[in-house]
Amino acid sequence: MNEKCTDKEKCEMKQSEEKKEMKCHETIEILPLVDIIEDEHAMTMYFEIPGAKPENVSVEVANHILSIEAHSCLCRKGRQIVFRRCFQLGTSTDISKIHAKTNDGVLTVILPKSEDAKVHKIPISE
Amino acid sequence: MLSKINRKSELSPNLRSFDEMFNNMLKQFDPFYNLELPFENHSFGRMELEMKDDEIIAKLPLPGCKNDKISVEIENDILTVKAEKHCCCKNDEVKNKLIRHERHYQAFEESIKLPAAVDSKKTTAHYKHGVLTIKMAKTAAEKNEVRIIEIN
Repeated sequence: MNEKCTDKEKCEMKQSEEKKEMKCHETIEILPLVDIIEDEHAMTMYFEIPGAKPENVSVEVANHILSIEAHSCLCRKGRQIVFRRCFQLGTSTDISKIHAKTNDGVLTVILPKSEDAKVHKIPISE
Repeated sequence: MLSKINRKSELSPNLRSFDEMFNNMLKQFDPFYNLELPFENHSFGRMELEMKDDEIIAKLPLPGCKNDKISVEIENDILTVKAEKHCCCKNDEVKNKLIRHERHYQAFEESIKLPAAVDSKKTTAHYKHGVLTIKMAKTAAEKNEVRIIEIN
């Protein structure tokens, strides 16, 4: 109970307003579906994040953990959808060269391989 | 190079199975209980209908589609949406390089009966950020007009 309120009715009004605000901000966390393709140069990940604007998408790497978070304009069960997923990265990823883009509700994250992880062909001399 | 993080894996196997059993039990009592599993989570084509006084708004998540691969039809108050997804792994060369494939579906079609009669000529649809939004204007007879009836 808010001690500043002297009138009981006012207090109840305030509480119900706060509850309403809370409802608007409620979110539901959903794992986005992903396709991962690996080739000799990089690993490409395609996440489905419908309804998320590019400014509401965050891609972070901390302690070799790649975290994806996207706030969608869509709702499920009356709650705003938040797509969230994490992956552990190995040492073969060049973290400084990771880049991402969104297009038609699909987030593409490209994880280039570090030079050490690439296949180096060594020429054999006679 | 990559591995999946599952927060539940931090629990011991016994605790995890108990956790799952408990979730399943709650789901039976309450259909809206928040049990979210990765493969139940796909949002592709899950239609969301919003009824307003003068229009109906339908929102469909269709990530990875192109405008020219989506068709919207209205016939006798039945809304039909067809969509085809651009798939990056159609050819065999890419298929062999796939290390995880969860986005299986490629085509989608759904028809629903609209809860009110709509004017198909005043219907608009636009596709942005992977979401198709269809705005359908209700016919004059369906609009919620308030009539005040005089008492003699």
